[in-house]
Amino acid sequence: MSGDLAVDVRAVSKVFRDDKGRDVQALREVSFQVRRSQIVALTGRSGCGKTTLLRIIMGLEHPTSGTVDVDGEPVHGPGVNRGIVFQNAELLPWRTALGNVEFGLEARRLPKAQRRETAERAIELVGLKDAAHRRPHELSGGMRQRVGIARALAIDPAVLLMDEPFSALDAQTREKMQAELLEIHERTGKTIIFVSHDIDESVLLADRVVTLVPDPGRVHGVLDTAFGASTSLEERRGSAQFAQRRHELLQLVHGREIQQQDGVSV
Amino acid sequence: MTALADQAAPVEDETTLSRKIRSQRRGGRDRLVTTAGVVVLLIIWEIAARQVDPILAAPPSAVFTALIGMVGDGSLPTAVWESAQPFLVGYVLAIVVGVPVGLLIGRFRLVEAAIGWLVIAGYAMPMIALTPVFMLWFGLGFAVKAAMVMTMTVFAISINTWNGVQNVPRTLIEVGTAFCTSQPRILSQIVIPSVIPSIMTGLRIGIGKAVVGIVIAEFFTAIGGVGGVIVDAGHSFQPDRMFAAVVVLMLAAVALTSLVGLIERWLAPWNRSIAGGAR
Repeated sequence: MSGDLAVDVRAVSKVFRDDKGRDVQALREVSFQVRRSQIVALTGRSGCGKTTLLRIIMGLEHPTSGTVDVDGEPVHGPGVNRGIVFQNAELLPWRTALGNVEFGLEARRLPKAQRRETAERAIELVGLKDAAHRRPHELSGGMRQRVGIARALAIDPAVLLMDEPFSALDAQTREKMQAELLEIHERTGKTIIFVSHDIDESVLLADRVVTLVPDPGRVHGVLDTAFGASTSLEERRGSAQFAQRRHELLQLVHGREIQQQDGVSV
Repeated sequence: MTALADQAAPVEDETTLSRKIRSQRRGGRDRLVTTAGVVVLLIIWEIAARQVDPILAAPPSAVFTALIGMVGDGSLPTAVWESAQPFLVGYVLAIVVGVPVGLLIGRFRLVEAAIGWLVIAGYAMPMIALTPVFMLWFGLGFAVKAAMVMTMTVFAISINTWNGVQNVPRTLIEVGTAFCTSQPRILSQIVIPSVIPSIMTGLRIGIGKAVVGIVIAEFFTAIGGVGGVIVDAGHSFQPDRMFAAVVVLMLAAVALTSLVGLIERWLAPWNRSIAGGAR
């Protein structure tokens, strides 16, 4: 069973100290598991701790208690088994698209030619071959985010972690990127965890959605959405299953139990 | 002393002015307006200066004639050369000291606590006040001029570098951390490139400060250089020669500032586009 697990989050709690020295509980006893090649969305209202949770998996924050295993190994800090895509791409402005992808590879002491080749393959994977030598300021928002994804994929991580990866993009670009993410997933078979506050996006892209509610941040429900890998976004969006899952997720996010709609409880 | 301090102000404004001029260069119409402004100012100056005693002021035409004459007899080129050498030495020293100090203060809390106050004090204090003691330490020649330029400039460069380090986007450093980049590589690949624009701002402001520094030193020592020419001309009631020297200083400051701007664009071409100055 554990060989099948890409990420195992066990009873993670996180307490921050705010400016006035008071303790604020951001996460309480959060547990969930992600199987290999699954796409999992972390969603919830703002302040529910979804980004904090992702940062803990990234290794950029340490949990106050609880543990996170990635690929069977406990997380103590950032590691090359996790590829990270930031909300605003966060590319180095002085490097070309290709140079930015190479940056991720530089920590691993690869020969230069091999590094270049790996980066080129990743750039090609996200469809930016022609823009490889442009600097970020010469790229559109969508292209920049693709470079961000390429940079994360280039290190060949076990898990791709994405923090609201498409929230800064306009609606059309976002849809295009969502479709491309599914394509990349199909081609690479990577495990993906992404944070989103967008209900539709979570339902459309993820096989499984973990919803969190705030004060303190905790898991409120886990929803399996699995459309089947080869279903296109269009088909997904038009399906009755989408409307149903979307409705259920809304209920969850707003802190109500799903049973309510069945009239079991008020 | 007060008169000298007043002299310092317009020279500093020159830096912002030249920056403004640079951005105005964008359109042909803007350039035309600027030219018209200069012409109108020259005409007003010409008319006004003709009304007063020639001992007190010189019209642009006379200044221009004096300028030609001073270039012709070699006195001006000599003076410029005399000023340029200590200027360059002092300015380069200020960079060599100022940039690393700024980087260290910005990167390490301990260094900030130890010498941050000194840099702030040095930046805020009028360095002119130190001129007499500088003359005791460095004499009346080359050394005191270079030292004056250096002390006038180094704090501006340090403070801007320091500021730049503090403004390195935290998320970019996080990118380095997330991809397991070593600390030295984070410094060389993320922090320093991010700080280059701030360093260049420091260098640009530094030019204005350095010009003030060299003029002050030459005023006090009254030995050679463009500052020396100004003092001599003032003492011998030759406002045309004096203004000619002032115009040369002004042009030099503007030219050097634009040169630093060019270097900045070459070093950090991404910065202008981010700042929205691409066109």
